[in-house]
Amino acid sequence: MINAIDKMKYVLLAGLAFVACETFETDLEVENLEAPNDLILTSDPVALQGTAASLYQNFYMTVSDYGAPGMALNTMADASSCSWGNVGMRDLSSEPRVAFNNGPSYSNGFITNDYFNSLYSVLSDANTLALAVENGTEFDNPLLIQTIAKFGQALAIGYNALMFDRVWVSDENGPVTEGASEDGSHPYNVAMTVALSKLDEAIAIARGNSFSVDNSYLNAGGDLSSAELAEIMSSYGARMLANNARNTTERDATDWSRVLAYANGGVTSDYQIYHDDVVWYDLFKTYLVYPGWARIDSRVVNMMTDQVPAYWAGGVNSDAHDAIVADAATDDRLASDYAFLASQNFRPERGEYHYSSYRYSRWDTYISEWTVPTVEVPASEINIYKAEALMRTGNVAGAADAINSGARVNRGGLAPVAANAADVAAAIHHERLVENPISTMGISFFEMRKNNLLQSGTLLHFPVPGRALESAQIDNYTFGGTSGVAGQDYSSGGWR
Amino acid sequence: MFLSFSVLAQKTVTGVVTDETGVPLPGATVVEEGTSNGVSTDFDGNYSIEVADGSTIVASFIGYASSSMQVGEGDVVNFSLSSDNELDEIVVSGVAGATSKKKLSVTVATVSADDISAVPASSAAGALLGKVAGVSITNLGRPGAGATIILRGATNFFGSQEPLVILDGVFVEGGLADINVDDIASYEIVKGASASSLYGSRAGNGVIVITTKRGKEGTTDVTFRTEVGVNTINRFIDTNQSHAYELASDWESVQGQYTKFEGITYPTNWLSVYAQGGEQALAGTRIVSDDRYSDNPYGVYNDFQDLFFIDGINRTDYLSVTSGNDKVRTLFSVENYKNEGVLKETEGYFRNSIRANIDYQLSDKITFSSSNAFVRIKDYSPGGGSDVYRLISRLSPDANLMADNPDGQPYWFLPDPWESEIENPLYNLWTRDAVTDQSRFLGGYNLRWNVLPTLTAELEYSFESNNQRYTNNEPYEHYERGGYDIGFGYSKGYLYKSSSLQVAQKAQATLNYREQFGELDVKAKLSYLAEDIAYEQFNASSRDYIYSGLPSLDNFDVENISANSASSNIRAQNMFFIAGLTYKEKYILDGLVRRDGSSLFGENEKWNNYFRVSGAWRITEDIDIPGVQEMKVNVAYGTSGQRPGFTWQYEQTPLSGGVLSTDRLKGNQDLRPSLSTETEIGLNVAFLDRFTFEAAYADTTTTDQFMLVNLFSPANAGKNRQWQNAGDLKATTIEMSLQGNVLNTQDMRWDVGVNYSNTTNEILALNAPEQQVGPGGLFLLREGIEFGTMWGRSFVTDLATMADQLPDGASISDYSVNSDGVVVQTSTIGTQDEAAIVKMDQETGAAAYEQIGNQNADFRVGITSNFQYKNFSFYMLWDWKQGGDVYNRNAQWITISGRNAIVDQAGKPASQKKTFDYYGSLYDVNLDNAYWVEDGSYVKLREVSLTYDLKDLVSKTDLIKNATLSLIGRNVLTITDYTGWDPEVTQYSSGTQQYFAEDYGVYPTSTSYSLSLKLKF
Repeated sequence: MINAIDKMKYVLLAGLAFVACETFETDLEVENLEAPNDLILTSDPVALQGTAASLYQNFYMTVSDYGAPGMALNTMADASSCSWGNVGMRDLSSEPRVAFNNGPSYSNGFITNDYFNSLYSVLSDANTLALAVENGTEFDNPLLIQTIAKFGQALAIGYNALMFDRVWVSDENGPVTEGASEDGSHPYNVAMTVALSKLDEAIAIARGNSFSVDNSYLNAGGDLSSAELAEIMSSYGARMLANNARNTTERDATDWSRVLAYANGGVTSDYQIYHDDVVWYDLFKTYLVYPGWARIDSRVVNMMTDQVPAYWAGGVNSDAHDAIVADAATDDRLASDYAFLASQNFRPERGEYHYSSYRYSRWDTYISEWTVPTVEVPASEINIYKAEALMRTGNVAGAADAINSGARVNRGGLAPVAANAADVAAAIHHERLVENPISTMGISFFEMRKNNLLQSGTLLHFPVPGRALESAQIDNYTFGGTSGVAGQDYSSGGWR
Repeated sequence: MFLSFSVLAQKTVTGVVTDETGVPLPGATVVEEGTSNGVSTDFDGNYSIEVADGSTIVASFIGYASSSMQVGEGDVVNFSLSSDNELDEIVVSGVAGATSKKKLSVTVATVSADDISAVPASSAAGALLGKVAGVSITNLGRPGAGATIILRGATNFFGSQEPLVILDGVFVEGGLADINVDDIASYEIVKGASASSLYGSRAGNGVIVITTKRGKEGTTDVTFRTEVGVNTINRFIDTNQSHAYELASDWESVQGQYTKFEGITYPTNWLSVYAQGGEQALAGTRIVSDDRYSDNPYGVYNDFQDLFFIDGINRTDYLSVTSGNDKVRTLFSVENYKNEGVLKETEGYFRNSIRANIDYQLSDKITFSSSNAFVRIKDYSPGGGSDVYRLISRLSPDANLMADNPDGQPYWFLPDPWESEIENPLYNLWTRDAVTDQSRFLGGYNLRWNVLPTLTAELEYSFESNNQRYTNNEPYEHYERGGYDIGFGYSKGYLYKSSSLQVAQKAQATLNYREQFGELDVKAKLSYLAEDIAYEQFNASSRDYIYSGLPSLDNFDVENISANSASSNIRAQNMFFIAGLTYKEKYILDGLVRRDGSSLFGENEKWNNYFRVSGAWRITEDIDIPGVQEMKVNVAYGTSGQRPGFTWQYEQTPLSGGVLSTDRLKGNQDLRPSLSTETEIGLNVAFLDRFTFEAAYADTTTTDQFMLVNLFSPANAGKNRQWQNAGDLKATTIEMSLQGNVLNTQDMRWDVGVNYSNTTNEILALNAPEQQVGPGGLFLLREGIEFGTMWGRSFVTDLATMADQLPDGASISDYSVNSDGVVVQTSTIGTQDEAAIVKMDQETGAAAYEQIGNQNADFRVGITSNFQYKNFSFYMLWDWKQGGDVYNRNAQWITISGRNAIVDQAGKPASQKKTFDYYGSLYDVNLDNAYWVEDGSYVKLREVSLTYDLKDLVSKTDLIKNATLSLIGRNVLTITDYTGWDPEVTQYSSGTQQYFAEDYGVYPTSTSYSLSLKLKF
């Protein structure tokens, strides 16, 4: 009897051990099932198509996210005003302007570091996709993949060129070493040439063929045709080429005929992103309009009404605001796109020049609803590239017509601009800053940059991020203040 | 009646007093409790005493715990006294077999249930605080958050510094914060890498082995303990109670309602709140007073900290039943613990624990032990996140937190009239509902077979199941800032739900060998250990409820719902052999080898080896030293390590929402575990029959440090970082402890313990670019510096430095050191141009980047005192941390709004006043600046209790065996110069998975007072 009980005990214990072992794994080879590895990402056609579908999203979120330089650029351009230290807005818009802190330890260094790294991820993916197509990988829609790949290459290289003094250019064939400097980089203008050649290839494929672009690619509220995709790509061509100049000399040397061609092939209605607030969102717009954050700079308000000085000299009160809005000379957009603020919330000790009585209210629906579309490529922006290109290629009357057909008259209620170069140039400047001050990253800054209007000492382009320089064992450098070459690396002019 | 009782009771009792091993104790005292009647034992420990029948007699002897017994029918009462001598305690962790501390060749500290019972901690995490040398513990103030534990020094650049915790054989993966202390029988703290070599690649941070109570043969005990108390914050921080704006000439007409400024148009029935538009909106701009001094009064003063912090209730109810016979021994316990914390509108932390420890004697040779603990937790998080602590101190005194919102909800959303970005902390505490619902089961099972008298075999299986659900709900009517007329409106709500399950299993097979060869005692152990940790988590979230009041994921447009998941599998196979030799009871030699394989190691580094050799000499066995009963020295040299994190070896292109992230990491097939190599020298002394002194010096170098190294993304396919083995870190620790029985008389006993430790941590090598880590990158990894130092900029504080960075055309005579100790232009003092000057690096022309602080303490001291007089016990634990800076980010950040108390110029002589512009310069845009580093030294009366033993009551009933009533205080007194709520500050950084001394978002450590009743039936 005792033996039987003992045996039963051992059986129970053995059973316990068995139950435990059932779920016990000892194999030391374990996969990470939460992220695709490089082998999958470079060889699996399904994965490659997934990468293609998210390539533009990756680019868009790079330039629209908090870790991008967009917010600082707006304050550097005196389009927005903010004395809060976030994302370098105060450091880069303080007066007088100072050198950008490019040390690896700078707490706001992420605004260039994240942007830089993210764009090179986009470029790597674009190169992988282009190579896969070249190698004959079987895709459902190889022309779409090829177009997106070339588009991605263009955006990654082009947006690096817009922002930094040098770019490490690569494509499906590897790093572009011809003409590269010792560190392997190319100057921003050379890089832009490569970017646009990639863009031209993409546009040619899209225009020369007919295919559908699933909504997941560009999130424009529905599937696009290849022709519609071509319009969007051409719009980016106009934007990148028209805005790459660091000063008036480079502006004048820009191939404006090519800009015109891009603009003519660009969108005629807004390209809007349908935000889901999960993987598609726009923090550039958010923090430049969110109550308590940035305001609109007095200089922009002054462009709409001369009753508000371009540089803060005391606020307007509610009655004065009402009178300004009622004034027929005032741009109607002051009432429709901007909101009056009766009080100041910036700290006076940080410089009252940051004060403003207005904020941009055009995206208030977005910052309340969050899952509504906002514009990424406004038709009005492309129309103004067209106008500028016409003007700079000698067709001033055409430029005036373009302007007068747009928001200046339709939304601003302003008189049509006369067909003379000075007025047209002023109207172009007005539209860039009044109609599209916060539509997408950099527009205001690029406009001020190429016209030598950035306040003296404002950097004209960023240095390669300090952490990247450190990793590549390249000596650190910076621009702004008096660092760099005047007029080439930092502004020696200025609107005031 | 009394007369007859005393007359009838007299009888003679005899007996012998021995130690635990039966050795007679000559000179021991035996007294009749409550009287002066007493005798001493003879040379053989014998005594004879005439006492009242039914009385209690107490035997005591220096160096031993007193023992009392009631005189019953028999005439013989023998006492076996337990030694108070620390060196007689038995250690089983990190060694080849059970070993007396006298014969240990490594350092293992022990803490018994008695050491932690006077003031029971809220969890097992904090119970060791101040009690063991070389154990640094920092309380996390939030209820249920537990404490951080570091044994000796830091061993990791990246990765947790927390030791491996083993509870009844279970590798505890979910932390100690949820483990109750009433169940704990003992701790063994295996501090250094050499002592912990036995635990290999998980033990670089040391090991804590916890054993819970078990049933005893021949007795059935029921223990009940209930404790009720209150938590409170007894240190509020000072804030600026003045401003620098012109008051309206009739400001006093609305005094008590709001502050009326010049230049502002006020609506009727204004609530002293912010609104961008609508009925409560202000118009105009405040006018800065000409002097720009913040010395003007507000129209109304509110004490927000008094509104924010409450006196919360804490309560513990514990019940255990232990029983046993020669076949089965059991313990069953239940604990309910509730801690409301100190935040208004936040429910706090609730825990229910059930434990069943059962031991079976299956046969003469086979035993089976099981330990089962189930813990259910509800943990309510403060709504509004970590920023609420800063915001509550950033509000202007005239802000109105208590005004109702336009729709009638309490706590006006934007309560500060001039700070449009400050959301009402009370509103967010009230409206947001964030709760973790967690269930943990820890099971440990051990089958032991005594194969031979010299050989036993063990099979062990243990697991921890951690099932956790988290819900964060913002109701439909929850306000948000945005494009609304008044600046805020309904967010329409937000819901986030997550669920995770982690099952960590361990299986081990061990052969234990022990045999005596003449005067050589041999112990050995051969073991195989496998680990398997499976984790899975998924979550879903959405915004914009369709229907109000239904916190369900079904209550959203399906297109608005997003989901994520995470999973990991961690496996290991380890084997080790350890042998210990003791010759003539005094020469001890110990050695081990271990080989670990882990799925966490890179593909090319799957297996790694560890070893230890150690020796000890019991000097007093060879040399007679007067007054010294025991002296032992030991030397140990050994290795252990830390494993990488799960994802670190893999290429990481994270995928979320169906799209790839552009923040990418390169994989590393060569990633190895870090390797800690420690040399330890120890000394143990027992002297004067009543004191023990222990000291250790440990020198640990951890090579192959983990580090997330920046890569040049253009050359790495867009990947910008990689986990690498990138450096060496050295920690040097000196620790000492002295335990003593100062007094031991018939009615009084006083035991005192003091422990001391200091540690330095140096980064010996860094094979990668230096890197900022910790909150906001305040801390630096750089070769040659101390690990844990704060780096940033500083203001010029001396004229010599200023002379080196004079602007063109300036003279040093133009500058002076102002009353705050910073250099300013002399002519600007007291004006708006007075400004602190940032120290510059003469080479780069940028602000100098230098060490501005050091979070490491110079030393830590813990002092325990336990004084007993008759039925009273008075226990204290003092905790002294000397040095160790805290970065007071709260203080800096509230200066953005001029709310720091230093900005307040009211009451200052006119000649000493400074403008708010000057303080704006001190704020330094919230950059890391030496000005905001404070000395975090403190002396705390960490634990105090006054206990009354209800012996008189107990003697009148057969029902109760023992009863005590205690008044308990925790963190009762803090002596510090730190200006924040509490200097015991540590903030978690997810980047490194470590804690850093920055005061931002830290739930303050509270004081608690409680009453505890413990009954044993």
